[in-house]
This record gives sequence, C-alpha cells and structure tokens, in this order.
Amino acid sequence: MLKNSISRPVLRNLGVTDYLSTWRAMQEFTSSRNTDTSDEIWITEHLPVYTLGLNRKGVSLPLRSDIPLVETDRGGKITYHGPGQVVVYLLLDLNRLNLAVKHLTQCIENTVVEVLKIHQVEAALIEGAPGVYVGKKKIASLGLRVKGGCSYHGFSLNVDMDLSPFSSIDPCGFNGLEVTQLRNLGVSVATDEVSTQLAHLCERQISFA
Amino acid sequence: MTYPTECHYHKEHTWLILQPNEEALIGITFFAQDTLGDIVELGGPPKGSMVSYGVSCGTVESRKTVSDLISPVTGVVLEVNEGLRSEPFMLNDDPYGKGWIARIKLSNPSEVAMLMSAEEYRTNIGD
Repeated sequence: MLKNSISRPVLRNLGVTDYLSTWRAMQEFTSSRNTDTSDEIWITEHLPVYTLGLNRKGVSLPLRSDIPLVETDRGGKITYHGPGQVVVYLLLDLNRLNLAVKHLTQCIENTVVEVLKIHQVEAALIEGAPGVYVGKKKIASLGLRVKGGCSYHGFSLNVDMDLSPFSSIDPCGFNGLEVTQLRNLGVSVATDEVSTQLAHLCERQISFA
Repeated sequence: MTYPTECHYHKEHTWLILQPNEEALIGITFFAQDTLGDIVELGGPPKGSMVSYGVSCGTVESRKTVSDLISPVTGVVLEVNEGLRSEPFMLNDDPYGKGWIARIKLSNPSEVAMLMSAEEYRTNIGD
C-alpha cells in the first residue's frame, strides 16, 4: 500500500491528565481499533507520577511517598512525568505504515533532535542508551508497547518543570544519570508550542520512514 | 532473510519445529527479530503453563519497546530456554537455534496444519 493513501494521524491535545486514565484510554483505543481506524497522536502533560516499565531488572524504586508510582506495560524502566513536560503518545498501526519497531524508536529520537534544533539546542543520541541527550544529560525519554501490530505509549520531553523528582530515581535504570530541560538550557518556550512542533515533525518522520 | 523449511510459521512471526512424542520447539522468526531490533529481555511463558494458538504467551522487549509473543500452537510448556535469561541477544543472533524459546507438549498436533510453510510465510511478509 502506498503510504500517501493512508489518512494522516488525528492529533489530539488532551491538556493536563492523570496517567492512569490516559493509559487506560490508550489500551482501550488500541484493543478496539480495526484496520480502518485512523492513527492518532495524543499530546498531554501528566500530573506528577513515577511510571515503571515491564523491564524491572535492577530498578531501584523512588523513596518519595508523595508521588504515586504506576506499574505500566511499556518498554523501558522507570521515569517521572510531571507538569511542564510534554508527553506525546503514538497510537499507530505499524503494519499499515509498514514501519518496523526499531525504526519507530529512531523516528522518535530524530523528531526530538529536530525540535531541539529549532530552539538552537544541539542534542545527541548515546549508543546503547535510548533517549535524547544534551551533553551527558537526558532531556527526552521513550517507551512503547506494541499489541497486534499497533503501538501505544510514546515519548516525553522536559520543557519547564520541577526536575527534583528525577533525583529519587535512576531514570531508565542508568545509575546517576542526570536530566535536564529546555528552561535550564536557556530556552523559554510554552509547552503548547513545543508539543505542536513535536507532533508535526513526528508525523513527518513516520510518513517518510 | 532465512526461513528454514523444517519450521512451520504463524503470521504473528513465530515458528514451530515438530519433535518426537507430539512435542515442538517454538521461537520467533528472522523477520520478527529484524524488525524489533536488539532484544534485551524475554518474558516468555513459564514452565508448566498452558499456551494457546494465536494468543499472547509472553512479551519480547527490544530497545524501549515491549511486544507480544504470540504462541503458534496450543499446549503445555515442558521446558523453557534458560540461556535466554542471560543471553536474550540469541533471539537476534540465532532465532531458530540457540534462540528457541520453549518446548511444548502439543494438545492437538493437527493444529499445525493451520501454520504456514516457509514459502507461504515469505510471501506473507513480502520477502
């Protein structure tokens, strides 16, 4: 099938949501979709939450009791979400897009690198450590689930948030990994502006992958 | 791309090789490991569990992505490949050999007729 015969993904901005209800909505969407269902890209910011992926090997749990921890079903280890961080969820029929899982993660990383470039931030990818880094500090994380050839979950980019909850965890299982955000790099930008750029560039990455 | 002719293939990219005594080995195909990329963890079916044709019996985690492992057959897990616990990359390096996932006692050996030959599977994935 020609890629340009597939309708463009539907873009939904959910605003600020709690993690559990958005996760359930993604599962619901994915389990009820059929071969005619349009792909969707969801944008949100979550209320403070730690999420733990299925790969729990060697993960140390956070000591903070004021932030809930959710055991979720994505790839990757532990991370933190909170207001001021843009979260992009990709609900895509990978078979229809003829997109291999390994290429989807590359599309995500390329998208973040491109968006950072718009804001004059030079980012890098680190071999063996998925995500996007500025210097040695992590600025974006990803984690996906594929069921029946369709993806859910996605990626997050730190824009203007309280980073202190990250210090209670080893993000993605890497000991002592530091995180950063756009504000700390001298970029003052609204999360809405960044999320729109991420969604549009991601859509382009996917359709030309 | 390699697809041994002694394997029977499920459309969800798993294979089965018949063994004596109505047993079979199962695993993932070359296509599966190639599209997933480097596999870091297998959440395979535990020994003694029941697996069902076309139903998820575990998960495979590649770079930051968890995918379902679909059983190509119905039966009971007699043995699991313990080597994959420390060497999950064998699923990439040797998907039909050292990357075998489980040995199954088949509940209904005639079910194997529903699986594809290597040639049919190659056509199915557009190889």
